[in-house]
Amino acid sequence: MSLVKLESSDEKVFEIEKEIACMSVTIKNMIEDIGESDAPIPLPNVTSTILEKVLDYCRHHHQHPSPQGDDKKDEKRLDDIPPYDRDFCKVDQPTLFELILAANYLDIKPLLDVTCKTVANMIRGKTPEEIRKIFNIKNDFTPEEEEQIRKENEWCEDKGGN
Amino acid sequence: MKSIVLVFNILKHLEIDDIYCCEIVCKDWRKVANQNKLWEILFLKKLFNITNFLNEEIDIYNKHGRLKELIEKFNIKYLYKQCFPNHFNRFKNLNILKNNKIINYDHANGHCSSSSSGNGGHNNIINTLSDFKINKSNIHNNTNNNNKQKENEVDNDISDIICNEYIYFYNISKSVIDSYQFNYSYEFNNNDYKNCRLFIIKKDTYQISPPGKNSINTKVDLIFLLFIPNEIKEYSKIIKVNYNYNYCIENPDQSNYQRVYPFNFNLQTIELNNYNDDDDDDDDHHQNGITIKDIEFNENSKNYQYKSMQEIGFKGLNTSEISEELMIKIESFANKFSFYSNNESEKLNTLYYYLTPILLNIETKKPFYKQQQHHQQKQQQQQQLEILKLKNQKISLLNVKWKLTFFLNILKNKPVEFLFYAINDDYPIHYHQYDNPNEEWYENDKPQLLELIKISTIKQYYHRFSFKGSGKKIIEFKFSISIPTTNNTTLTLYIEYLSDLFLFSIKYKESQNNNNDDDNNYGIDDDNDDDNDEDKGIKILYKNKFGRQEYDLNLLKENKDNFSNLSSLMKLVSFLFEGKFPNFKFKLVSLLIIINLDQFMSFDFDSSKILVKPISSNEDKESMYAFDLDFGVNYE
Repeated sequence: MSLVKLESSDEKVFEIEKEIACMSVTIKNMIEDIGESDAPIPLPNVTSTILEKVLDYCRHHHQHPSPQGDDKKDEKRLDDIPPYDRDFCKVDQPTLFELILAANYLDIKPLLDVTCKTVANMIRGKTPEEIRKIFNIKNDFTPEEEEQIRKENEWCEDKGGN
Repeated sequence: MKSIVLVFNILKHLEIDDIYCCEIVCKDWRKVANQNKLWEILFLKKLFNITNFLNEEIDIYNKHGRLKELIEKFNIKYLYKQCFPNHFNRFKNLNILKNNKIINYDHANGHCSSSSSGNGGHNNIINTLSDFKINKSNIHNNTNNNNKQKENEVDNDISDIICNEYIYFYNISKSVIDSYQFNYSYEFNNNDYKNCRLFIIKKDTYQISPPGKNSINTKVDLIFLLFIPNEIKEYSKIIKVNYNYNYCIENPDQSNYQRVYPFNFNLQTIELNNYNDDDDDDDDHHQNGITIKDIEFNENSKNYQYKSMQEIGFKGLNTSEISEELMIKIESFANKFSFYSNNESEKLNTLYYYLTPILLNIETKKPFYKQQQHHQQKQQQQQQLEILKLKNQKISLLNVKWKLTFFLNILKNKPVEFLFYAINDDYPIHYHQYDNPNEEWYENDKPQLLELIKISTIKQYYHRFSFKGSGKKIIEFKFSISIPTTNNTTLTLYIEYLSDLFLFSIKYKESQNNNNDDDNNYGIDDDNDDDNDEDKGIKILYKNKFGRQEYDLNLLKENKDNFSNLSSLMKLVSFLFEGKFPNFKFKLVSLLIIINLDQFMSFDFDSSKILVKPISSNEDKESMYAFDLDFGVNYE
């Protein structure tokens, strides 16, 4: 099995099987574009820490492919994240966001879905204020604007009140 | 969050309640929360009941190309609201329930429970008891004298009731909500007379987001059961009081709520001496849900005892099993919601039904009804052309003339038989009886025929369009024609064509001229059940069910065949109503004018010329489109 080299933003080089690396659509396209080469593929948007985690994820799912066909048959809940993926996402928030960004950049759909789902689970049932706090987001609405939106979505108001 | 794309990827995993919450986080998130693409995913998730949506839209659109075509044209958030108002609005209404302390709602889990422990729950119980106090006199008035004294004891005991309270509620999943239903039962023990028991069953049903109203309709069913045992079995009683009432919880921000006042109180005494252990199959012993034979008696002690609440007609109220059963039977006020059914194809058909006219509006920038008018005008022009063509084809004209005249003649003389034979191909012989156009009756009866159709009126009708998945227009109609006949009677023909059932039927009723009130009862909501029709004296003349394919073929052939083959009344009527919006009451002659058949009527057979000018009734023509039943829009 041929190997490819990936270079993180902090110039750390990882060697990995081509088939696994090609789980990333971005890398796959790059390999196709540049052809066979010993030169490492630069990934300037991914740090070595994150790239290592991403490659772990890819290795695991390459060895344990999930039965795609059955997924659609069963009605799944939002929190139906496979155990490995759930553990994989048990990281601090900055790392999780970096993983999302990496999954998006590398175009690894399953990773993007599982990380986004994990964040979505963090949002579920929270008030806007709580969401802002979790993600450190500044409220840039004026009080009038906020009131207007609250009126449109009346139920929101009571959500945090109880 | 650094990227809008990432916010989108996160939000697409959420339900609309959480998405609304995200909308208020910051401006960037608000933009994402209102993206059409996001709502497209939400819409497809809801439409196809997909909980874990990844990239299913590709498969869906491959399978339902027409859906993609429709969805691309709409603001999906708006569309979602239109299609799933129940889902869209429920949170607002849930809060009203919450504010009224009726329920607790656990947003995190999507679970709903009755607020039995809160003030509201307590108030509910107090209210229930107040209701009981109001009604208890009715109970006592209807009680057998043998138990009078004991009942009074019960009466006095109501004020210091010690309740064993059972409150049951449903956990409602987030995805499907039609109404919330709570069941309460209260068991009251009388200290002085322990064997006498009062049970109150209270069932509250809340309709979340009623269509067109900004309030919450509530239906409460209260059942009071007083079991008064007697050592002599035959003197024991169950007194049952049903008390149902509706009310609305006002949404304080809206002004157009309507209060529904209490209704329907009835009292029922169930005599236990009707009880028969051996007669298992006698349904008469089941009265309003109470199965008398479910009461168990302890023969040894000679005292009647309940085995439990479960076994006396309120089967399993305190078991999870019955919760399931009741959940299935969950009552909905909201059966007119757009997507009441969870069936995929039904939902799609409903969607096409709603979207097709809107899409036509968008594409042509014209309201749908105007397009219909335009279509009708165009159709009429085409018909005129057809007529002109027919005029040049002597043979065809002869056929048309002959058959129409035949139809009208026989309608006058033997309407029932005619319709029967005209439609039923098994009796072609009757056509031949009138095959000779030189017969005397033909010319002589002509003026009378005109008179007949002038005084014939279409009394009631129902007509609607729908659109099937293929986009094909399907038409349904029902109407009745009143035709005065000899012997001072009126013949009423009921003609209905229900495309959903692919049913075509003609029924008739003969009545005295001065007693036609019943005829007006043939409305759109009439039950089509044959038994009911028989009760009204309506007899079935013709009934036929036919398959979709056959119907579609008929529709296609219709335009070609109508003028040359009026022997099939189905085709005639179908044609008459194709694309037409008949006025509520108009004369049969107007109907003929619409399709220009009057021209044939006045066509002289021998000279092959139109001798009499077509019957003109501009008024009728103008008022023809006065009311569009489909959309309930006045657009004149």
